[in-house]
Amino acid sequence: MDHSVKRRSVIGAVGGLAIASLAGCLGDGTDGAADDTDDASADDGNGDSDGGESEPEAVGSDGLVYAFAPDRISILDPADGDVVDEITDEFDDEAWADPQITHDYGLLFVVEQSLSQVHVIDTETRTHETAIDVGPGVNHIYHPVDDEIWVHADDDGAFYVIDVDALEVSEIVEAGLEGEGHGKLLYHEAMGDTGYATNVNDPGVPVIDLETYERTGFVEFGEGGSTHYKAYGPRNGLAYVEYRGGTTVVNTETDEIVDELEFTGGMFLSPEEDRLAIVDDEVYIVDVTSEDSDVLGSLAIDGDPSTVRFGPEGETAFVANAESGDVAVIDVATLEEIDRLEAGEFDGRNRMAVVGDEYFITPADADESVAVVDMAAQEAELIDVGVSVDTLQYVGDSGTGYTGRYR
Amino acid sequence: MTDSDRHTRSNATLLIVILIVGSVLLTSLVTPVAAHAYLSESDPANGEHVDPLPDELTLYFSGDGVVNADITLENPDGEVVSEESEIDPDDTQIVRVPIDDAAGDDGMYTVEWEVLADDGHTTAGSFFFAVGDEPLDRDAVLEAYEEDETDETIPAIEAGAKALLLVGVVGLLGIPAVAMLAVRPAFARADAAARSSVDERIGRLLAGAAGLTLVGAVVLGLTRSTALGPLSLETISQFVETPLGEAWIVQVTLAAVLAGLVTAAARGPLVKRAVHVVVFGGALAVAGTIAWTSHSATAIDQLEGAVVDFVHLLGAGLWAGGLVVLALVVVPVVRNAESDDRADLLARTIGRFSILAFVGVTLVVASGFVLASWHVPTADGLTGTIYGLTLVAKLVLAALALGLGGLSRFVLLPRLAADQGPETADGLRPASTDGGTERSSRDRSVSTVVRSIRLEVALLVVVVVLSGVLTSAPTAAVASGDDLVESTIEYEYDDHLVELSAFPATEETAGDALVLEADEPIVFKVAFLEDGGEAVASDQPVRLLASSDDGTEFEVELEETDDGTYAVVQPLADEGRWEFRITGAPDGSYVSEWIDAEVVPADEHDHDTHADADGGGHDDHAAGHDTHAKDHADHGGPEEATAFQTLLQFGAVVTVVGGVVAITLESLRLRGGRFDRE
Repeated sequence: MDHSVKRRSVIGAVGGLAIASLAGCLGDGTDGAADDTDDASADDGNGDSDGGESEPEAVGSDGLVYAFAPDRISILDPADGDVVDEITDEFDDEAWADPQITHDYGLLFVVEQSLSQVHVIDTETRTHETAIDVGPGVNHIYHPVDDEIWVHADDDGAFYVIDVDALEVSEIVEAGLEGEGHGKLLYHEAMGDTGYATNVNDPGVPVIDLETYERTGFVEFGEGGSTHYKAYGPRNGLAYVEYRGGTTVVNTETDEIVDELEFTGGMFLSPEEDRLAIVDDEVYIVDVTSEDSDVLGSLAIDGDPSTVRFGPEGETAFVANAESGDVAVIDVATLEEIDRLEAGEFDGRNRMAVVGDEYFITPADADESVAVVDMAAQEAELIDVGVSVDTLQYVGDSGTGYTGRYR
Repeated sequence: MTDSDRHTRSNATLLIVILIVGSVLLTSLVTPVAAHAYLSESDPANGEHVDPLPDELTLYFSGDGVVNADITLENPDGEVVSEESEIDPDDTQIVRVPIDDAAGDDGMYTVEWEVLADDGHTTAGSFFFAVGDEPLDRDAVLEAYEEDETDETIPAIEAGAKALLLVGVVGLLGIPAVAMLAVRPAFARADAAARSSVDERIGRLLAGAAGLTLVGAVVLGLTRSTALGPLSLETISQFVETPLGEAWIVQVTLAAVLAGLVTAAARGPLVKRAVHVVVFGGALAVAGTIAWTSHSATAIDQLEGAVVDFVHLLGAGLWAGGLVVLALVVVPVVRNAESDDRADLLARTIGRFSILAFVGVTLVVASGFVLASWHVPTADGLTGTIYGLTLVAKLVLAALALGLGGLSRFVLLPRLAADQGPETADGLRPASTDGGTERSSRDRSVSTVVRSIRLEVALLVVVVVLSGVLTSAPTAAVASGDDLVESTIEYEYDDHLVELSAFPATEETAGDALVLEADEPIVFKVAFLEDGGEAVASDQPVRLLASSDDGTEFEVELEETDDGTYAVVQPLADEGRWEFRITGAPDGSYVSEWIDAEVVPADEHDHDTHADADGGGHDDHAAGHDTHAKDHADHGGPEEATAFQTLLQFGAVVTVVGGVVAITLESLRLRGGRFDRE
C-alpha cells in the first residue's frame, strides 16, 4: 500500500514538474525564483507564528540575497561575498518555488510546494514569520497590489490571494477556464485593475479583475493551444504572451491581438523598458517602444541559456546558462557575445538569475555556491553556501521586470 | 486407618505434586506467544492503487499452509474476473489467482477469500484495491468493513456437536477417576448390594458418556468436513487427509473403542478397576485430540496451547465429571442404604471427592485464566463479543457452581458429619409433644446435600455446553479486531464547524489527535457545518493533505457525497506521527485546518481474518517468502501483554498457589479422619 501512496505522490510531483519544465519556466526568474520554505512543524503549519520568544532585532536585509536551500535559508552579502546569516527554523527537505518580496521589501513570501504553503520571512528581523496554507500545485507568486500576494495553484487553475497584513488567504480567484493548469499572472500598474492570466490549458488569456477578484473575460487566441510566458511593454502598452510556439501580442486596452512573433520563451525586459529579450532556441531582442514590436535581432548562445538580465544601463545583458556553468555577456547593441564568466555548475534545466544593485546573481547548486557577477567589472565570484541552492531573492530594487518597479 | 485411607492419602499427595508441577508449567505459559491466523499480505495489497490491472493476484498466509482456497475477484461492475485459485506446491502459504479481465477497467476491485488451512479450519475475509488513479469507493469500502464486522456467527451444529463431545469427555475423565479414588474407598465397608449398585450405575454413566463422546466426535468431524464441500464420501476423504481430519480419525477411533469397552464391561466380567483405568487413559487421549485442535493450539501455540487446553479439560473432568458420579451414583445408592449408613457413606464419599474437586477446580480455574488472557486480551472483549459474553455467562454459572461446592464442602458436609451419631431405630424422632413425627436432622442434611450436588451438576453441565459454544466462536482477541470505530475531530472556523472523521480508527478521538492503523484503507470524511448542523457545500475542491514524519506526503481530493459531506479512502503506509490538512471553501470562505494523527502498526487481528480464529497462525516460518518473510515474522512475534492480560495471568498464579494450599489442608483433614465415623 505504501507503494500506492508513493506512486501517487510521485505522479503528482512529476506531473507538476513536467508541466513546469515543459513550459520552460522552472526557476527562470521571470516570475521570481523557484524555491520554498517549510516550517509546518515549527508552527503547526497553520499559519501561527512561534510564540514565547524575545522580540528579534531589526537588523535589516537591504542589499542582501536570500538563498533558499532545502534545510535553510542563507543570507548572502554580494558585495562582501560572504554568508552573513541563516534561517533554519526546522526546515527539512523543503521544496521551494517562487519567492516574492513586497513593494517595501519588508516581507518575503516564498512558495513551498510539498505542503502547498507560502512561507513568510521578515527581512527586517531575518526571521521566519509563518506559513500560509494555499491550494495545491502552487508554483508562481505575484504582488500586483501593495497589500496582496497572489499565488497560483495549478491544480485549481486559481489564484489564492493572501492579505499581506493578516497573512491569510482572503480570496480565491478562479482563473483557468478548465479549473486547472499551470498558470501565471501578467499585470502592471498601467493596466489598472486588470490582469491577464496565462494557463497551459487555455487557448488565450483569461482577463482578471484584480479589484473584484473574478475572471471577467477571455481573450481568445485560437481554438486550441495554451498560453504560458508573458511580459508587458510599458512603453507600447502591449502584452506579449507565449502561444503555440510563438508570441501573441495583445493590446491591453482593447484586448485585441495586434501582432504575432514566431518565437517564444522566457521574456525579460530591459531597465529602460525599451527592449524585450525572449529566450527561445536563440535569444531574440524585440523593440517594445512601438506597436510594431520590431525584432532587432537574435543571437545563438551555447550552454542552454535560461535567464537574461540586462545591465544597469541596458547596454549589456547577462545570460545564465544551465549547462555550460558560465554566464554569457552580450552587447545588446551589436548582439554579440563579448565574454563568458565562470559561474559554477548547475544541475537543473532552468537557471534563474536576479539582479540587484550592480550585481547579477545566479545559483550554482552543483557547486553548493552562488555566483555573483559584478556587471560593471564583468567579473564573477562564487560564494560558498555549503548547500545546494537553486532559488534566490534580492532584497531591494531588482530592476525593471522584477520586484520593485514592476509588480 | 484402613488401607483404603492410606491409598487415598497417597493419591492426594501425588495430586499435590502434579498440581505443583502443573502450576510451574502454567506460570511459564502465561505470556502470549503469538497471534492468531491471518492473511499476512497480498499483491496487490489491501487498499493499494495499481495500474494496470495485474494478471495475477497473490495472497500470502501465515501459520499453517492452505489446502483449499476459494478466492474471487470482482471488478468495479461486480463481475467475477478471477479464475481457479492455485496453491503454490512449493509453499502452501502462497495462493495465486489468475485474473481474466480483458478490459481491466479502472476502479475498485474486491477480493473475497476463504481458505481451509491444513489444520482443517476455515478462515475468510475480504479486501480491495484500485486500478488507476481513481480513489477507492467509499461506500464499497464501508460495506466491506460492515461485512467483516458482522461475521461473528457460531455454527450451531458444530457448537452442539462440540458440546456433546465435551460433556462426554468430561464424564469419561471424571467418572472413572472419582469412582476409583472416592466412591470405591468410601463404599468399601458398604454391603455388597450397595457396591453392586454403585458399579452398575457407574457402568451406565460411562456408557452414556462414551456414547456422547462418540456421537459428538462423529458429528463434529462431519460438520467440519463440509468446509471442503457438500457432505460426501469424497469430502470426508479430503478432510481426513488434513491434520484436523487425522486428529478426528484418532478421536473417533478412541471414542468407539471406549464405547465398546464400557459396553463390554457392563455386560461382562471385566475387572472394573482395570476398565476404569483404561477408560480414564482413553479419555485423556481424546482430550488430547481436542486440545491439539483447539483455539489455543491453532491460534496461540500448538504445544503450549494444547497443554493448557488439556489441563482445562482435565480439571473440568475431575470436578464436573466427579460431581455427576455423586449425583447419579452415590446419592441414589445412599438413599437405598440403611438409614444409619446414609450420612456416613455420603460424608466419606464427599470427603474423598473434595480433594479431587479441589484439584479439578484449581486446574480448571488456573488454566481458564490463562486461556482468557490469550483469547480475551482486553476487558472490552468480555462485553463486546459473542465469545466474551458467552465466557461471562460461563464464568457466572461456574462461580455459582463453585459456591454450591463450597457450601456442600464447608457447611453441609460438617453438618452431615456431626449428624452421624446414633438415632432411633426407625430414623424418626418425636417432633413435638402432640405425638407427631418429622424426618430426622440426618435425613434432612442428606437431602440438602443431595439438592446442592444436583444443582451444582446441572450448572456445570450448562457450563460445559457453553464451552462447546466458546470453542466454535471466534475468540474475543479476533472479534475485537472487528470492533471498528469512527473517530471525529471538530474545529470551529469562522462561522462554520469543520468536522473530520476517520473510519476505521483504532480508538475514538483521544484529545485532538486521530489514532489510526497503518496500511488500512481509511475512509476520511469532511463536513462543513453551519450552526444548525446543516452541511455546507465547498466552492473549491475539498482536499486532504497528509504529511508523515517519515517524509511521505500526499494530497488527495475528496468527493462530495449525497449527504453533503466529502470523503476519500486513503491508506497510510508510515507508522508514527502524521499531520493532516483539510482545505476547502464552504460558502466561499477559505478553510484550512491541521489535525494531528498517530498511525500505529496494523493490528495483528485485522479485519481480514474474522470468520474463524482457528485458522493457523500460531507459528512463524523461518524461510519466508523473500520480502514477505519479515512481515510474517513480525506478525508472529511476541506481543506486550495488556493490563487485563496481566491481571488474568496473576489470577492464574494465585489460583494455583491457593489451590495447592487448599488441597494440602484438605488432605490433612482427610488424614485426620474428619469425614469418617468415629
